[in-house]
Amino acid sequence: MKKLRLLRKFLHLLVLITLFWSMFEGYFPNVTQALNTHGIELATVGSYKELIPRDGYTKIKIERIPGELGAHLSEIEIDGVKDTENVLGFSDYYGKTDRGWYYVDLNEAKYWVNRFGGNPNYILGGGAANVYSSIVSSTNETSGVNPYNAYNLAELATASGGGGYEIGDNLVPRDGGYISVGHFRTTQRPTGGVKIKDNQTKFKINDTVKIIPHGKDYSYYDRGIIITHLSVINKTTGRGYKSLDSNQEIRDNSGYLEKPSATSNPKAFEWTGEYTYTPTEEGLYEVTFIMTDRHMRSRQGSPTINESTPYTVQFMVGDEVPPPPPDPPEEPEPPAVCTINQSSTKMDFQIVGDDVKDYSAVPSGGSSIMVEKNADITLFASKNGTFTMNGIEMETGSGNNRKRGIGYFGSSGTYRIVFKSDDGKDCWEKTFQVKADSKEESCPIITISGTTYRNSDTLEVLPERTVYFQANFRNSNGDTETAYVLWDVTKPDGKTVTLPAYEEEVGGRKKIVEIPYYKLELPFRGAREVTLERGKQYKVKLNFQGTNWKDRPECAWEITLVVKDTACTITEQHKLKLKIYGSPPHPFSPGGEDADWTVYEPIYLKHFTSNPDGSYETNLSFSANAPGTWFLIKNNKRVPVSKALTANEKFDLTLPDDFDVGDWVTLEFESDIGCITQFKFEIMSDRKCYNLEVAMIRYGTYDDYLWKKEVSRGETLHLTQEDFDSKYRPQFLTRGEKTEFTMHWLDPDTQQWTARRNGKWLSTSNTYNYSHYFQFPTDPDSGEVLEGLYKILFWTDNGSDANGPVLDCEGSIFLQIGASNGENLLIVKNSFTITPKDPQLPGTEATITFQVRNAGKTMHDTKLAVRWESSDKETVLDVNQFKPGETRKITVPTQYPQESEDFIAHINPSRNKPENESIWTDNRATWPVKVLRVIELPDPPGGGEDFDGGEIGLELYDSDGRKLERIGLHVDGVWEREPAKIEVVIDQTKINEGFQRTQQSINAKITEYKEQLEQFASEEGAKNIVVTAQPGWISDAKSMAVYTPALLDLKVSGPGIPQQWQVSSSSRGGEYIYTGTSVPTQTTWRQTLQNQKYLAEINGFQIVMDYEIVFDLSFDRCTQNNEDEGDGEEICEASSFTRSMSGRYTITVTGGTRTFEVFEPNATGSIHHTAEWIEYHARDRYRQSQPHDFYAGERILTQVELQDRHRHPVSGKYPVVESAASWIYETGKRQTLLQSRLSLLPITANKWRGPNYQASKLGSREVGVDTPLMGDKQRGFQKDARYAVYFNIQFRFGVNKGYPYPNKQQFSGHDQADYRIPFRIIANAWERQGIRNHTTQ
Amino acid sequence: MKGKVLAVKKIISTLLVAAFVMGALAGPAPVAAADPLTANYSATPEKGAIEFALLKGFMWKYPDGQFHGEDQISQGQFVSSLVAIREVKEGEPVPQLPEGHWAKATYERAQKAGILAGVEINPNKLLNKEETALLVFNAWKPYRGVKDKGFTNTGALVTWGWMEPAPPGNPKFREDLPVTRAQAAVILRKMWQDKYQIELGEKYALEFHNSLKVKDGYLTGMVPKGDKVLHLSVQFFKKDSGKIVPFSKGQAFRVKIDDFRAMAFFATNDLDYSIAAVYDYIDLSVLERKKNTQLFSK
Repeated sequence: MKKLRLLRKFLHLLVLITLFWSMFEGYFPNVTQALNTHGIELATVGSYKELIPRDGYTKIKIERIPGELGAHLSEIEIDGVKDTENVLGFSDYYGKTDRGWYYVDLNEAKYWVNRFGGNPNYILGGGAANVYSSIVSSTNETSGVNPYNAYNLAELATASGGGGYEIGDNLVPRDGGYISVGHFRTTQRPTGGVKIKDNQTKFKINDTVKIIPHGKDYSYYDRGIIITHLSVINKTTGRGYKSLDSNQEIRDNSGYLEKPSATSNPKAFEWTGEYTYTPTEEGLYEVTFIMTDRHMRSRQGSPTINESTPYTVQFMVGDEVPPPPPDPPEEPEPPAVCTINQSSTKMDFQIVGDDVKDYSAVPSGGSSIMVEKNADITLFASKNGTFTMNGIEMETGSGNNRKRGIGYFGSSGTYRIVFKSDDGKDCWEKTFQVKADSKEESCPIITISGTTYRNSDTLEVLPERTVYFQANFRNSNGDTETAYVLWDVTKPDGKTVTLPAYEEEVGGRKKIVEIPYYKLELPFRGAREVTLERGKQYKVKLNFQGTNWKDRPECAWEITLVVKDTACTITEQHKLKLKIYGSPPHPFSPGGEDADWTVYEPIYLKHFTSNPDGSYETNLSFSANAPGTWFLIKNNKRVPVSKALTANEKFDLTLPDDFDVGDWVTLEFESDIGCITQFKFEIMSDRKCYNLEVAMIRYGTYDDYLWKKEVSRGETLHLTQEDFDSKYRPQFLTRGEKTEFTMHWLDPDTQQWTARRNGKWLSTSNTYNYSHYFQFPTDPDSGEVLEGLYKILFWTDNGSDANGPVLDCEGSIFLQIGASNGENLLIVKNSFTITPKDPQLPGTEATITFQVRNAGKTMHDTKLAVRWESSDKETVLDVNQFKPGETRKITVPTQYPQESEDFIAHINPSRNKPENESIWTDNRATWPVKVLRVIELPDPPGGGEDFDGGEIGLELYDSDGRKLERIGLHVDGVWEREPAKIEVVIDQTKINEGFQRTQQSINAKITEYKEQLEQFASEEGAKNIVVTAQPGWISDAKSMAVYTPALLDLKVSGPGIPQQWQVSSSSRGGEYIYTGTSVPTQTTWRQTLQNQKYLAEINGFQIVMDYEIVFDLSFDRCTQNNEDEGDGEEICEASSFTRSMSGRYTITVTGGTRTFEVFEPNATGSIHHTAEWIEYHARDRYRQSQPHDFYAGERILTQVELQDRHRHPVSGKYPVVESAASWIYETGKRQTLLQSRLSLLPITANKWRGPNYQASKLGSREVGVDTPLMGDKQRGFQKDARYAVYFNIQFRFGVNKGYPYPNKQQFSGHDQADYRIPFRIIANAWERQGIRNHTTQ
Repeated sequence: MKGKVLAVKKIISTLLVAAFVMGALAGPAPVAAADPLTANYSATPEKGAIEFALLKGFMWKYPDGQFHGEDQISQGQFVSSLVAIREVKEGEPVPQLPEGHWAKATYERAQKAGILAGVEINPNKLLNKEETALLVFNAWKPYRGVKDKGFTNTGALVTWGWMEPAPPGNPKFREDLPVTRAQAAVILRKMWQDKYQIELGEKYALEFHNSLKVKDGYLTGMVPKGDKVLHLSVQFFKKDSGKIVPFSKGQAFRVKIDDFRAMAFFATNDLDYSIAAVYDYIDLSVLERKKNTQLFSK
């Protein structure tokens, strides 16, 4: 593509100030916009850099640009990196001119301005940047394109401070054609600063302060800066404000211009100003300087492109130290942004294909790395960051490890992987290129006498025949080459010889050398003779010695050659003779002529009769002098065309419809004893041949004719004695070529043509000439011409070629003198007219006229049949009272047929009125009628299908890696607050199957349509048919795949905390950790706590493969030049058509959902008496004491227990108790606070009790939750009062159940009875004699 | 076949060089009779524009036999040229010019053709770019409609490509610059060519239109063979898909009307891709056509 029109913009004075920007803030978000084609049928750039298919794409005009354009998909490179988005390129319709532009619509324009680093508000915000849109529409109204506003991409780049450039014509080969790639450069945003002269910071009142602002612009065009704002203010007092400058544009008037190119970098335009300020009071002053470049780009370090961060500097006036000013805000350092082309980041990665390859410390950039197709890559960064592959975020490592990037290569294409660390300091980029399949050379392919034979085939051959072997192979480019090999032939005696072998003299001694060759002929003569003996078997094997096939066992090739055991001896063979029979218009004798291999008279297609089924009666017969069968050989096939015949029995040759002018007919006769001989002839056309004239010319004159008649080849001229006059002599004339001739008479007795009559030689020529006189034999008595049928055989001097004499317009005419044996009704062939004159469109009403003549002696009532050749029905007209000598004009109203064909008329078709006709060929005439060719190309199949790509699998795992079971009614789950791992599995097998089927289906359609087009053209009788498809073959449907959406939403919802991730649809999935299980949904005994369950879901996606195949059909339509220029040549006109086939295949992958439970961990607390106290309770005076009745001062033992119901309902595991405690927090007598807290220890797997201690004399005792104060008579528990023990249990994942000490209100857990055990005080232990309270043990 | 096959292939030369390339402006005008019309059609109209103007008779030499291409063109001269190109035969009164004024007949014809709309009549006035462009747009209204409203006459004509932009250092669309006779010749040549191709396009469009026949639900017709200047084509728009089925020059077709939504005929200049004629057929069964040849403003 084509010169980009780089319109340089002239910036007008800009009045916008920073304040304005905020109004537009967010007005143009940074949008990524997919290409919108606006209904335009796109063209592609073909192999000649022209737009194709010609006339098959929408004709476009762009406002104010005169001329017709076409749109084509184009790629854009910005700073040498291909962008992920495409644009439409517009070029002259079909032309290869240098005009072309990239135009983008408004949505796309926003994207591109952002990519160019420009200010979209300024450029697209209403003309301030002098960038205007133009309306793109189709040239005509009915194409279905809605006109839209579009921007010239080059103008957008220029207005963004960058520029476009070309590399050559911007065209890059792609898929057999080209694609336009636009090149653009961006520039960095402006920089600047402000300082006080000499960096002086202290001044006195009325000193002159010199303020020096400066700025740098890096743009390609419209260079310069804009001082948006420059002012001073006394920050201490708030007074003394002075605006030093604003909205001042400073242009680069140096004329410096750096043209954009791949390597250019415009040097900065630098500006420095000097302003003065005179302070009149003391204080801290601040100077503010705001600037942009002339493209309204904010300075580097600004938060947005719209809003330029001010530069400031401060100075002090006066001696007094004013109140301490706030620290001047530190100039925020621009974040250390890593740029790819200056990156020093290195990366390790591993590529796993058929081989595993490790790469370490690979620097950014550089040449691309070749990878195997469908390989996987894992990259290892040193810090967290984002990996993208062709712009799509890659999978992270498991557990969302963002130091890893995981990706997959397709079967072709280029992949650009970019890493950017989260802190913005590291970045790395590398391009990977999938290696193309290297094709292997094929094994040799062997053809024997034109037919391919495979390994272990058997071939039967006739003796005395030569067998031709040829070896070819396909090279790695797919082209066929000859294969140089040796051939091992095993003879019937078991001996093997290697051929070809020749004798050579080496150093005076004869030696046999073997020379590999691609051909072999058997029998082989020479040093190692191989004859083919009848009835014997031979083996022929390829010998790969010295070739690359040697190590390829699959290339082994050996066949068996069986020589037929026939009785044909060479003598018998030589005895075999053939005969050909014909009658006018053919020149052959009705009684038969010897035909040895071929004949020297031309055989014209015109003299065949076509049957309604399309086959041809040749009107020729053949016989052989031995019993046997005739075969027709075509395309290496041998088809019998006669039954088994006796010796000398004739058969009439009918040819199938696929024979045509120029074809050689090969007939083979095989006798019963296996002798074989062939006869060949070419079917010729006389369409380009001149007609002859036969005349009667007065002796001694040049132009005094008695009569003159035009005669075509094969035609019979009927003459009577009245046509002769003694003062005149017969003459025949040719136009265009000199001829010689001989004259023959048909001997009615022998039915042979003979050059003598009554012993006298008939006329012959003696030199090549345009005209010849000749004579008929006469009756010596009456002087009358002897009646009979004569033939004048004439030929031209065109030399010979390998097949015999060149027969160009040779032929015969026939002269019937006197009445023939019978009556004769004939059609006057040159009387044919059709009105309107051909060619016409099919179906055009027309009238055909021609003449019929009664050349007999009797009046007849006869019939005339007329029809178009394609019609199987004829119209029969009555021709009544047809007088002898009468010529009658026949008028037939008709319509032009659908395509060019012959009109056929046949008088007396049934040969019954009269019955005794003799020369039937004149009773039938065919006239070619041309019809304008109407094109009804078959429609391309096109279309598409949707394939099932399966469902995205969602698997869940608990934190121990247990996969949650998929069970019916009750759902599996994890513990409260336990992180759940979600594994997303996108099944590549089904998707690949979809790709495979898409590829097969499109390729089948390509093949099918190519065949249809070829068929179409060949039915048109065209020559040199070439059908091409572009692309000719879809080698990988995946390369066309667009994943929609590119990113899938994986969401978990439920009573807990919702979380969401994005998963690349082109990935294989990944693992994600859900940590929002904060709200349990069930108890372990399946009691529902929350009706809403947790739901993990991921949306489905579609892989869309849009294809467009452009088919070009070209061929030559040839017609005979019938015009009078007389060169008789064939005129061929090239014709071509283009059709495009398009459609869409999709692979639909459905989304997945998965519900799961979150189980609440629980345990049960309980209180117990000591063994002694159980005894006391049993036997003391409080026999009626209830469970959980305690004495004040009695030890209260506490226990936490996991019961069976606390097990995980699916895994059966108990929840993990990390700690358990019991506590009392009560008020005793005299408002005494009674509090205790006891940590419990595990005593068995499922039980927790108070710790043990050693009590003297009593041994090991368990600590209770009570305290001595609780048993105090004055201040302890009160009799008949109710108190409670509380429990607090901490489970894994930070889940607390029960009551946190000392809060009796804050309960969590399923049942508070499990965590709060009330007890009653029935007395004080001191009241009971003999019982010691626990303080005394 | 042994006969020699003569492949007659269409050859379009992208540069049909004008048959007359004269160095100096002096000397007799070359004889036009022998030149085929298409040979006068050049894709690079700047070349030989003056010779072309003289040959076609829409500009004339001064009595001294010189062309004086460097002179500023006068209103009278330019209007005469436009009248000649438009081939206006009839007139309308122009009272501003006295009887017997040398330019009266020409101006009357220009008046009839609408060339003088909004023009202050003064045959001796030397034209600047804006005045020249106004006359061009007036003269070309029947062919390409009115100019784009957002531009001055100069701006619109420069954008369209028929007038050169101002030299570097000037505003591109500067209006007050003089127009020389040589520059006028370049503009006039582009106009002549445009008229030529439009008329040719119309002729073929009509020929195409007349070839159309509807019968039994089928439309038959033939895209005219055309010539070397124009590429002729027809696009059929499919009902369901909007896909295009094209036919190009010399091809006869027969299509099922039900399959197509609409059809359009295009005549496109094969040398510079300018649009000579476009016709839309919105209803294939009635064969009414609507002209949509490109206009200045669309």
